[in-house]
Amino acid sequence: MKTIKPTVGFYGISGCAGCLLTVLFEDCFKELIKLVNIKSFPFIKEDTYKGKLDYVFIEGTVCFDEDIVLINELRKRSTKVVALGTCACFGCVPSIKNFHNKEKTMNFVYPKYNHLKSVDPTPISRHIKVDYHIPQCPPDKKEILEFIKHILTKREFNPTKNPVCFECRKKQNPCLLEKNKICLGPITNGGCDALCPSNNTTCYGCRGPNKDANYEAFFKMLKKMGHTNKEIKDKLETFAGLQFKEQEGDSSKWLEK
Amino acid sequence: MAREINLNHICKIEGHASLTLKIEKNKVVKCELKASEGARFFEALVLGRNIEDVQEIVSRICGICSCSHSIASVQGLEEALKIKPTQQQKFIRETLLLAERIRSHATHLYFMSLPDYLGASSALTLKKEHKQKVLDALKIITLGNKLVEEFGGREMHPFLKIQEEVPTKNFSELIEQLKNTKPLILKTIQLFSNLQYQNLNRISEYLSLKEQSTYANISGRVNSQKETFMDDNYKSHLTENIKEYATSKFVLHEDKPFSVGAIARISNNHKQLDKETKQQLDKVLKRLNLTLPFTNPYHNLICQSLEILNATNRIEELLQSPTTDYRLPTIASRGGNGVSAVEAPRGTLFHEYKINKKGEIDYCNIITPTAQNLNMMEQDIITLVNELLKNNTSQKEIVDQIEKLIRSYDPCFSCSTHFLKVNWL
Repeated sequence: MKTIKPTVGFYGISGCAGCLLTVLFEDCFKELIKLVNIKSFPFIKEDTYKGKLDYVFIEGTVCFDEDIVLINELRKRSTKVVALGTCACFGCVPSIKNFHNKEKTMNFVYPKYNHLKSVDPTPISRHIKVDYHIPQCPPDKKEILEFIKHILTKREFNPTKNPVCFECRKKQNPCLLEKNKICLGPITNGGCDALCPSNNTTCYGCRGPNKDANYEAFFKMLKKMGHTNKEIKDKLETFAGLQFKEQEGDSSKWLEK
Repeated sequence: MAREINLNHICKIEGHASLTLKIEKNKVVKCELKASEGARFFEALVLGRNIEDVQEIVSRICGICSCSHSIASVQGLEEALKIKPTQQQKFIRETLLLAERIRSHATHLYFMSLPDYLGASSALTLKKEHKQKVLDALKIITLGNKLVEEFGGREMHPFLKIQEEVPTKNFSELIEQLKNTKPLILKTIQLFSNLQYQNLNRISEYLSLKEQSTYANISGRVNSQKETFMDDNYKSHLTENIKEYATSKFVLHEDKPFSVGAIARISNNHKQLDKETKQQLDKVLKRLNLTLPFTNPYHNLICQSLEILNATNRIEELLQSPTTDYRLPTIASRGGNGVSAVEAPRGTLFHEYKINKKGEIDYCNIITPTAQNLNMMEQDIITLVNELLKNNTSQKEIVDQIEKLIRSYDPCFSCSTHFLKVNWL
């Protein structure tokens, strides 16, 4: 008996196309085309199909009005919406702009002219209902396939709830916090196999805030280590600033400086 | 009678763009190529940030060119701090840049351009006899991925630091993979030099980096048919313009349109190509009855296929004798101004930084290849359409040809709409 493959679309809004490129990589793509029916993928395909999609994967951050139009249209056409990558999930690097003086940013980059209809860079979930999130910058090919296999077999997709530190310890990496660096490992969701710390790079929080983390204790510790509010704030704002701000609740006051 | 041709949401390019053409009395009177992406303000995002964070941030301008942005940023910061990179760092960076070029070119050639020439809407819908080509492409892309992962820690957005050390390794497995992929690369050259390209000849100024003895990749002087200048002088030679209809900037060289990328590099630096690529180039030129420099913008595809071979051979050379110079530089100064230009897949990429005494970024400016190509692209579209109108070509055919032309430039609208600081006099 032949099972019917789900119809799937891959779309990008303002972003770096890195997530879409990841999908194209051999070990992901070859498997993918066996499992799903790719109806839309404007990055590599004429965008002629305008019908229903079972799943739509969206890459990128909402950065201007056309992004909002597109994701609303995709929401209407699709049964399930998947935010692919840190941009779609949390706003990623473009969302740093929310924490800067807007006018200054605009003038620095674009003096005199103001024909841009730019909106505050935000994750897609601030505009449409999102059913699933696959964070990380860039996303993990294995996790994309894992997700698809889960939906095909109607199992619940449950990424780990442990923080990055959990995986980092397991790999026996030297702790970067002990080297007096600001590493967001303790307050960030794992599932990345501690990729950055394993490459001697601190965690920037690209998989988003961990719900069970003790933010206050973490910030206290960083300050005790001699880090300034600005340094900690900069780090938090890099990949999932909006989300961290929402998550830490009571301690968000100091984030405002 | 006036008519308009609108191409909204051009597919199979990196990022989002649309085109508006206005035709009167059988001639193009308006041509507006517009990136339809939201601005992401990258240069402003790094302001006030510690130098350690810069590469992590600017790498996200583009997933496809993340190695090039990373290398240009790290080198620009080093310039500002007056640090000389070690031989080993140069080795890592050149390998990363070339590996990215292999992957980017292969993706563009097979997934974005080839379907146009084989009468398919995408690589997914190619006829059965062409399916193998897609599998070949995936193999070539994988080669690039493996190399980026080896030296960058992951396949995209590499980990690259001002100071780093990589233990000496035996690269025999990678060299083996390079050798195994080579037949597919030669097939690629064969395939793309035999496609039927639209006839369109014009003189373009080509800009690229140039080194005396090697094919310039991560350093060199900026060179064109007209002049040569140092990269830190880029502002006195290149000017950026803002057009009301566009969300990206348009760059001019001495007030004239010009182009960058594989076609510019091969045209300018063919003497510095490795022996095998040179032979392949000669064969192609002979068969197509062409002389250098290339004059048909569609031939950028041929140049990209040749560059995949050149990159593969150069990486093999680098891996055969990896450098063992490990002396890490010490930071010489706390602040300063620095510029770095590198050859990204789509052409010359400029990064400039000013660092203050606290080690934070005070100023940043980035000029991407696509912003430099946009003027020439518009001009070529006008030439092409006027030519086609003379021959009473149907609108459908005109649109097809325009799309092919735009794609042959391999534009990257993500890069071009990161928004640049304009500060020209």
